[in-house]
Amino acid sequence: MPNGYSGKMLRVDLNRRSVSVDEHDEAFYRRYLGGWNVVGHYLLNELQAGADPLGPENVLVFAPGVITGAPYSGSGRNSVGAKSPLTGGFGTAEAGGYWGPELKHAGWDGIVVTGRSETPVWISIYDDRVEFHDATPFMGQETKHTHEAIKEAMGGGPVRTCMIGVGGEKLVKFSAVANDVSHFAGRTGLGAVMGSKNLKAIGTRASGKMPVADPAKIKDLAKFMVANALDLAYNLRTYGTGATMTAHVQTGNLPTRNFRDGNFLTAEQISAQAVKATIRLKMESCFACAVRCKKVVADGAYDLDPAYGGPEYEGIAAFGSNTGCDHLHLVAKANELCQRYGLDVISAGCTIAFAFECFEAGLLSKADCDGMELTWGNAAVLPELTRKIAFREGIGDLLAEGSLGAARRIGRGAERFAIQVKGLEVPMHEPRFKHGLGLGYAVSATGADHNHNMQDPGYDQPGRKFDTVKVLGITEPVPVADLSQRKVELYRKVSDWEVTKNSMVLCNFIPWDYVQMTECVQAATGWDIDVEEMTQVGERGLALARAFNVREGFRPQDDDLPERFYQPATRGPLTQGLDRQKLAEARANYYRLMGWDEHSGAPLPERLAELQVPFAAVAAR
Amino acid sequence: MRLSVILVGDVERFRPERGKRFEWELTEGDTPADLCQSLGVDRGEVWRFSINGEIREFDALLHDGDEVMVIPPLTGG
Repeated sequence: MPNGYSGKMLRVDLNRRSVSVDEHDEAFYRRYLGGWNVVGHYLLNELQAGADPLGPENVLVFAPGVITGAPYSGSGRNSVGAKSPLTGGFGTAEAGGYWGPELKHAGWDGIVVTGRSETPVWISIYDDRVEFHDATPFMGQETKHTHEAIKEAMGGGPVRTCMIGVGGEKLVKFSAVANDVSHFAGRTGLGAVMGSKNLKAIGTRASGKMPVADPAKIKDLAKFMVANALDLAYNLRTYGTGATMTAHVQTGNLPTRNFRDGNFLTAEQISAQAVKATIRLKMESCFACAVRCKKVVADGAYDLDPAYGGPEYEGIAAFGSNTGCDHLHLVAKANELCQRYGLDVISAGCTIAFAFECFEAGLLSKADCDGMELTWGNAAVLPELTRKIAFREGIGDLLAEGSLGAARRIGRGAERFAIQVKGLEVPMHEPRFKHGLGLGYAVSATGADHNHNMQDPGYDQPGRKFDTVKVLGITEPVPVADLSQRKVELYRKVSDWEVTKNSMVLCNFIPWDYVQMTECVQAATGWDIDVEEMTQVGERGLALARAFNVREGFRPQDDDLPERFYQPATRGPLTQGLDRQKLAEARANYYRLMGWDEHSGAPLPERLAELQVPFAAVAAR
Repeated sequence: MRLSVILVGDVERFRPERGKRFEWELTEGDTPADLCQSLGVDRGEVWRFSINGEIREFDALLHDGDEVMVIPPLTGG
């Protein structure tokens, strides 16, 4: 009996409404760990090049990892992946909560969904019993209602759900997949893929537990984080995300008015401290987590339902500073509507900021915007715009295409206001401040993504954060505003590991160091895996994703940033844009380090062979 | 000299003021490094300082009336 995994992936064929089992051996799990890598494996092996992301041929993968369900902090996550309808490339995102562990406890290492149901369907999983049900009554419902209805239909108790909202049903290009109502795999539009398959939800209930190799070690790891979370993760545990926004303003790191203006002087009004002082009810956690960083908010005047948790930094900044809005309640309401309707808060907020700038430039009129004035700081329109996007009503139908898709429809130069990479809107971290992060946005297979990227300030001087990367062979700090070879080497190691984390699948907010993360895998599986082998797992994942994108037609020129980031902000600390030549050199250096062809960006066959994924060379040829 | 000080993010935990701005006495000629030592803040947890809105290093000179923000490494979230 294996530990950390069952060896079984559930296959769901929606064309036939049938299920089967894919069995995998230990080598598969040790090579991939799960999550991102399993997504990459299935997309490369089963999806034809050029497939329609919203066609029945797309392959939708739900993938926990080998640690998911082991009871220590950060192990409550799972990946979701498919070809992205937003970017046309490798799509993956991760969500926390409890659904991933429940799936593992039910005996499944993941789910691979193919085909399309003719009518809306939801799936129940009780251990190895898998059944299809009519989802017609749930269509158009808010996520909370769907969650509660499925719980009731499955007999109540500890039923966990994974689902889409109205946004996914309406094929909003940046719709999300929700775990247990308040945890989201937000990025790259995977909710639309689920919607295109007419798959509304997956309810899961387990009777057993995932077996682990070393329960005593797992207990030690769990105890360590319980004892140290308040010290090592003080900020997240006390406030959740969004508590350093005043410092972001000082550095220029807070995206302001569609990344144009550089600082936002009323940021404190929408910060996590303001949330705590006004609308926060309590903090909650994901599965087995001691950090407990999830806000729960309520406000009767704005109908903020605590069932949907609360706003994270990304949502606060995307709907707040990035649209020039400092009205906390309306920003929180727009964020909450994303959760009711299943939208990615980053892409939603940024696409609305894009629309604001188009309005200012005269590219969208008041009539185009259904009578609304999309002026900077007009927070009153945020909830209605969000609702219209989810239901594809009026101006919402245009914005549901994402900023790049909408810009192409608007024409007249609107693309210059679409702040995105490969179609994915830029998250709330400034590449003109953090240059390594900027390189990461450019070269990421999913587009502008911070979930497998590097945050430079942790590594520019000795200290607690820098000390963690010494085990990866990084001996000297590197300045934040730097794109030298040393920065590229640092970025390469850190981003390899970010993908390792997204494969095992581990939360980024738990202050485990790299040795402890390795111990997490050792304790779950019993393997003698070391830090170096763990690093290579991440590199493997990056190679798979890169090979997939090359097969889909992406080229090095797609690994670039929006023009805005090569210019200074109009005001504030960002007085210089990124150096275009230096970024191009950093990209070429990164390709060399990764063993990717300098002209095509494709992983070289010999490197793929070393990474034990030679099959990916076919895709990258 | 008297400074107006606020600690942000994880470094907030080193002081009982917990995120509130407070007054702090130092000697003319002292630096942010001296401030960290005086406050009992582990400098390995500090990234930089904002002094009257300008990002400064550990060896900057502080002056009477300065508004100082102690900033940790600004990572995710």
